[in-house]
Amino acid sequence: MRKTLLITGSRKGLGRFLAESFLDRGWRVWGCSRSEPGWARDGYRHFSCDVADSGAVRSMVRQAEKESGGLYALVNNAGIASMNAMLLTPSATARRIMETNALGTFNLMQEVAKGMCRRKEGRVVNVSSIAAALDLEGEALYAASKSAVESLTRVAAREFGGHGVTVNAVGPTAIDTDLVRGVPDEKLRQLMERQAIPRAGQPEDLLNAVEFFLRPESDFISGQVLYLGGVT
Amino acid sequence: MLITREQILAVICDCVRRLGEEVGSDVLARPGEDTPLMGENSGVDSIALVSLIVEIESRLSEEFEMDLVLADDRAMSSARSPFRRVGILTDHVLELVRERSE
Repeated sequence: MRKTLLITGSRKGLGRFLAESFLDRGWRVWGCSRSEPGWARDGYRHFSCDVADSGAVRSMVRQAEKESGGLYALVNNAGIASMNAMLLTPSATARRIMETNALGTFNLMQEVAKGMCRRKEGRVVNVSSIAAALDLEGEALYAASKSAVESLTRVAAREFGGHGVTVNAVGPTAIDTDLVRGVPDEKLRQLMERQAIPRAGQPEDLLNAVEFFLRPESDFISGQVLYLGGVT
Repeated sequence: MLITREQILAVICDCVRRLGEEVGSDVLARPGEDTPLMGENSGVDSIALVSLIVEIESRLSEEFEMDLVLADDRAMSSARSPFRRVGILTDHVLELVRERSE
């Protein structure tokens, strides 16, 4: 029986790449973003949903659960970033980043884990970032929100572990998407030099890590944050 | 769709009964209005209570097509928890249903 994955932020970039990769691998994929995706495929179902809106998330997940017969996996990929020096970060920007990245991850885990815990089976992968590990200057709220995602990952792993649900996180390096488009090349080069493996990250690198955590054989791995590029 | 207190009580009791069978509790396996859901004598620990609440929410959604959040801000901040006994929880759910219908 085909397993069902819910992935947030699937309209473009890494979210779309992951969604299409899992469709290629025979999964049924439910995706969401604040606006329409602009792409469609057999086996893919899209919801318009702001992950920071707990009511909208609740409605989406309950509908997804009903239509799919039960979500096996969740990938919390939806996230936003804004490069600002701390002294110049508008409060509305700060709030929006925390709400989307951290609260959005919490909202999805809360709703999806209800069904997973009932069924005693599930996989959750949250997308963090090396920004959290490296305390990147100019990314205070983004790094803080991803640190929150990592803490939520560890606590959720403990709360859901007894119910057959694993919760892990992947911290990608900078990968060429809209999220890093505004980052100067020199900054990206400096960032790469802080990696043990000094090359640009590729979407396939993230896919590899997400697939590992979703495997049935990974049922004894939980509460972990896996950074790419050899970052520690 | 008019939902009666009896219908809500039936759903809650069924969920409590299943929990009772799962944990091997005679008290929970034969639930009634006065069956405790919290406290030392209830046989329901904090993890089981969370599971029970989630199960009741799911059943209410399936049977009455109504998505309710039982552990809302009001319930969690209340000085007297609505989850103390089956009957009190039933009244709490009925209140939520009425508010939703208005």
